[in-house]
Amino acid sequence: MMQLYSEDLEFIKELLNKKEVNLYFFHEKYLLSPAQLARTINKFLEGSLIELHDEKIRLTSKGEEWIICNRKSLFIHERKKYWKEIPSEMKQTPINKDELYKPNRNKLDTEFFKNIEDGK
Amino acid sequence: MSNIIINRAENKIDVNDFTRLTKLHLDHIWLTYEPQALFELWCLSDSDEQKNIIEFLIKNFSYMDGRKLAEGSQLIAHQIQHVWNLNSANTFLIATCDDNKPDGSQTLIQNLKNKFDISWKESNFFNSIVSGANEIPTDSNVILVDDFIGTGDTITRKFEYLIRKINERKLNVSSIKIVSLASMNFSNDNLNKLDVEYYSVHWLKKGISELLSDEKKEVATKSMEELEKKLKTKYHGKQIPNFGYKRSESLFALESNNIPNNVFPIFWWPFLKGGVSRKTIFRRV
Repeated sequence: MMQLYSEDLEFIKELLNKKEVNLYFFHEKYLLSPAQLARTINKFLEGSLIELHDEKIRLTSKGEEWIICNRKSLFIHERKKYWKEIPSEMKQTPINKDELYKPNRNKLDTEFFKNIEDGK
Repeated sequence: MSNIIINRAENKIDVNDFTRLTKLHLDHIWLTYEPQALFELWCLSDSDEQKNIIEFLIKNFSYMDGRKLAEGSQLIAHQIQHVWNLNSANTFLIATCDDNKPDGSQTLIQNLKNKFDISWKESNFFNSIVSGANEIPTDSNVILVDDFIGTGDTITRKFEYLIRKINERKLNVSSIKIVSLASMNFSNDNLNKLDVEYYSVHWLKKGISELLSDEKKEVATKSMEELEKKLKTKYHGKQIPNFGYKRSESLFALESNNIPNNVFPIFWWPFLKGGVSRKTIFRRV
């Protein structure tokens, strides 16, 4: 299975629902950028799953068959949410239970320590 | 490329602009390698004429991807072996690259070397002009290899260096020839002065003054000047080469390689007036 992004799924859902869709529709409804839409179209054109004529796109019969055959992986499986992943440069080694560490003093809540001193 | 994240548009774009930009992206897949760049360039323009010239130049760009590079290399190898009838026993191909500065000539020679018949060995190929000029034996045929010839200034300089070295080493050289993947038509003047045979797979016209009719040329030139006025005039101590180095007006790029400074700077100059950095379709170090 080719790598699919959320815009690819929006694209094929619309093509399944409507017979023919204009290029601009995907921008108006989903704010797809030109580069994004072009990549999506090229991806599906490569396997002859869609046709593009004069700014209008439609599924080919091969495309319809492909969607039906792959409907489970396309629409039911939870997709990988790449935007939820923490970038590796932001990660650090987790501290073990009961492990000693030196806190960053600038980041300590001074109010909290004042309250302890004051016996609150 | 297929797994880079491409962002959605931040705001709605006019239908005409959106359609033109999408079609450009569809027909020229390399524009998507830096997905924001074309849109940023488009937003620089404040008239239809400026948009028209951007669109026209992109449509006429000679972008050499891996397949075109391989095809070009086949044609060069054919020219050397079957048209010039040179053989592996005494022919040496030398990339015009200086010893310590990697460039596109090395990409080309690397691609070329396995396009020759079995008698050719690694020793027939040099990836720098310094080592080549110092190591070729006497009575050889020498072929200078460069990926792109713009004005012809660089290849002239390299040719003169080679001649100087040959004379210093008191070598007898049977012939010197030049091959390239692409050359500007107007570089013929400089190449002819060298009085050697040369072969280029692609011959390119100047993007505005040789590709457009007289009436369109004037508007396009004015539009390009207006666009270039929006770019910073100097960075890293270098002056912006308006319309490309010595007004070459080149439309050539070799995939993954430094863009030649002969290309219109709107495609690669990294700063706008005021020092604001911009995303560019191509890069140059």
